[in-house]
Amino acid sequence: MARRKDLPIGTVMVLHALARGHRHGFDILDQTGLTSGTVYPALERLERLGLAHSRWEDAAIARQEKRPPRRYFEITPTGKAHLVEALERYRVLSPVIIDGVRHPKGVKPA
Amino acid sequence: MSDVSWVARAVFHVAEVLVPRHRRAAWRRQWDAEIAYKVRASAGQGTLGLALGAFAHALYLKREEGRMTGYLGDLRHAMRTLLRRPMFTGLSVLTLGVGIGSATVVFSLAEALLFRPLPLEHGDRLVTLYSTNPSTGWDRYNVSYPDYVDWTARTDLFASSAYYQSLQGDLSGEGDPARLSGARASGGFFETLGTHATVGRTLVADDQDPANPAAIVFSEGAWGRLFGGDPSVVGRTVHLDGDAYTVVGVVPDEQSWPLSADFWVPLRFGAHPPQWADRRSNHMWEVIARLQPGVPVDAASRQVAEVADRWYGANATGTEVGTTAVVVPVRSGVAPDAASVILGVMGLAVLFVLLIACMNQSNLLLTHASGRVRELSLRSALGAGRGRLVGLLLGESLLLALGGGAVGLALAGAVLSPVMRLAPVALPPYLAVRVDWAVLSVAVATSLVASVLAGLIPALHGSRSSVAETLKEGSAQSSQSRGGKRLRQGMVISQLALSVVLLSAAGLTIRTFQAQLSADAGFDVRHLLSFTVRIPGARYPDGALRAQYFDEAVHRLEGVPGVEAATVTSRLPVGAARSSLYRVFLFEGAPEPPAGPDFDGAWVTVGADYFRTLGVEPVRGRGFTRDDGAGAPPVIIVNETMARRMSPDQEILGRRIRSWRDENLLREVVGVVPDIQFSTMSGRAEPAVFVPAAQAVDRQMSFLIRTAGKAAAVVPAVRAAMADLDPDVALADLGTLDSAHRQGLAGVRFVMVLFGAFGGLALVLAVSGVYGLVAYSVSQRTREIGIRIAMGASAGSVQAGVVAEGARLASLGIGVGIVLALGAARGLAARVVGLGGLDPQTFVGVAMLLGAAALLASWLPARRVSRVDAVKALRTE
Repeated sequence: MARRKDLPIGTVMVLHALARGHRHGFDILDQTGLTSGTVYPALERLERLGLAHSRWEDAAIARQEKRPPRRYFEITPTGKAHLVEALERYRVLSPVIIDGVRHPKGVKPA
Repeated sequence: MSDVSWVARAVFHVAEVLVPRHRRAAWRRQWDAEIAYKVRASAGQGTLGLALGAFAHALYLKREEGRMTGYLGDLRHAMRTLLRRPMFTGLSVLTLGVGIGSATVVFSLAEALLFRPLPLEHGDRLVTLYSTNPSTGWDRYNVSYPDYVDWTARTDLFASSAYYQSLQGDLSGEGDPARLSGARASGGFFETLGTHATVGRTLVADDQDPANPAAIVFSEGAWGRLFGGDPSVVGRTVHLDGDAYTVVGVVPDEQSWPLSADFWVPLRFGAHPPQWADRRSNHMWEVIARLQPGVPVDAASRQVAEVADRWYGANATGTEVGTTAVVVPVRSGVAPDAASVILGVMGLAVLFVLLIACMNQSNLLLTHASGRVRELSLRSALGAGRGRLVGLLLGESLLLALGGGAVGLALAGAVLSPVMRLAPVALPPYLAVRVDWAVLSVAVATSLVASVLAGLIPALHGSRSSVAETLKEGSAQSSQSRGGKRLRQGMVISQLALSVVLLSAAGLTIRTFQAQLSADAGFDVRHLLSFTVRIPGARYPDGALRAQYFDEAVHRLEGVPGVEAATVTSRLPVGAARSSLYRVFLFEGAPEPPAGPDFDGAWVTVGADYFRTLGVEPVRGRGFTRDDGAGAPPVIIVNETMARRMSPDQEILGRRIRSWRDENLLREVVGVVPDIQFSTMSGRAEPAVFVPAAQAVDRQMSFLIRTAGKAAAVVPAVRAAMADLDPDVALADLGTLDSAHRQGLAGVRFVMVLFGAFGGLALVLAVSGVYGLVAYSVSQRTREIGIRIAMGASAGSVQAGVVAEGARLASLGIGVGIVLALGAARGLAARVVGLGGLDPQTFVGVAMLLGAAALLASWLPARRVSRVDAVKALRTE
């Protein structure tokens, strides 16, 4: 089993999106702006690591909405704990001020 | 999917194929939903991006699947590779099978004979206590009563204990009198064993009270044999050695101790043992004890030894100095010492066979691997890491070893029962040597070890191949790297060396066996019949009556047609080693130990015609006559070894000696006789004294009868004569001395056969190793040989070169082996009683045998050289 510690940042972002309540592939794709080549394997991987789990949408609902049933993902408690840890780790990426570049919203030059 | 562009659709289809079959349906459902969402959200725009996502997803699933089955995949591949090369595979499996099979045989023997606890409740807590004295070299002998009391007093170590004495007795009144073996045991004996009676009860402490009727317990085996398994036998009175006993119970054979005992009677001392039993020097008891739960055997042994050391350290004199105690677990315990030594030696031998087999296998694998350098390089070029390649190669070797294990197990199962027929002891059914789970797991474990042993070097070596070099055209030779060749040669040399050791050991045991079988027993062992009787004390209460019985018996036997002479003795010559009565002797007037010297020697009582019956003439002085009776002056005859030891410079004839502390009667030495063998194994040089039976009568005596023709022919007449004299006395161990003599060598024969077999296997394996190496080297050098022949070299000279390579390996291997074998022979001779030591003829013989075989093995492939067609050989490259 792959180690959970060194999840790549893309996977962490997917986990983050799940935590915020986005539940399936395309939704997450839109939210994170990641490529589809990252998102789908990442979901698969998160499930294998036990950080997320997936279930099929109730067929009745899908029929009502006249579309195929979706595969919904949810973050697990382990996933939540892991996300906290991972976000802590990626805090090194806290906003910085770079000369000549427009500063992101909310960050003021010192 | 109709709203999706055809490119995206194509990508989806390709991706779908990539998804492992069992996940395909779920994958498709998920993507149907994703596409539906996308189509609804953006009217079919950007579906190509989605398709790429599906592709990445499919790739991920495939990779994940691959990670799980990667190793299994390797194994499957390995299996296919092996099946494509049946010769190689068959040879490997057979080679390893022989090694693993040998190991399995020896392990099954050891398991049954040494490690299998008795089928008793917590049998692993049963121990035996022995006296032992490292300073005199007396190992594990019986315990005296005071020692027993001292040693077992530690109730924190022992839950219960008992002492007993093995004995034999004649059961009469139940058809023909039968000689049974059994034990006289103290109270608590069966309690300590944890034996439960199948019928009636076992012995209890009350049975030791002489006021109660004498009780006897039979084993199920004896019960079936003697009473037809009739349960109403309980309460019946039987006569053992003429004494009446009441049968109180029957115990299961597998809960019996000592092994194959027929009966048990209580020790009946009354409240206290008599004085003779109470002496510290009287090492007459065997002791069993049950450890308290959780007490380890070695801890108990240490603490009991401390108790013993304290007493002997303060009080011991003479040979008692240095006496201590040892506690050993009761295992099946068939001759535990001898068996463990023999099996230890066998274990080593079998380890050698296994090593040789593994090295052979290594060589085969190396050869095999060098034929597929291309394949391995290609795999490595395609991204297989070294670990993966090692795994692949080890996987093959694992499969081969497991195959070998199966073959080995089958071989072991096939040879076990013939091997056991040769064993020096007959085993009770519950100790049957068999292939069971323990043996099976050892075989599997051995296979795994063998697979690593045999496979690791070739795997590491094979995985090292450099891609660039080996993928180059015409680089088959690069596999024949210098290192690889060295490795192979080293292994062949080691194989040869180990074979020399095994073959030498085999040769040594064979020569010892022959030497002992043909050794001069000191008399003619042919045409001699022997048997042993024990007359009941109740009907023969005093010495005069007993002497009269034996006199009359000898007289009647001499009257049997075909009998030339007959006599009695307390100790039969030749045959299996028996316990013997040793006494300590002093010259008249000599100061007693420790002030003066003492001499120990075997105490043998003999009839008047003993020496005449054996055909032994006194060297000096005279033999015994019928005049040396009870009332006549006490006389004694010593053998040459005894005479030399006691009186090296002075004539011993006419001097008077006494057996100090025992008989203590001064006896005049009237004769010196040549040494004879008392046990076939230990040979002749044993100090012994002979005393007229009429002057020291015992109840148990053996008869020796010299016949004119075949000894076996007079057996019926002898039986009739003895039954006529007293029908209730059983004739035990009736047989010819000649066969007893041979039987005495059963242990050596067993070792010899096993060593012979292992030596033979080693020879075949090592020689096939030489053959393999030389043949391989010839096949690799075809081109070179072709060039040489093209340049005008004669086939003969090229062949000589090839054979010389084999000869060089053989001489190195044999040289190293001889050095190892010299050391091994010394160790072997020190451990196995009766084995001769260094024997130059054996070593020369082994060296020549192995050398010749190795030369033959190199000559066979060398012959092929002459068939090399120079033009063809050159063209192939």
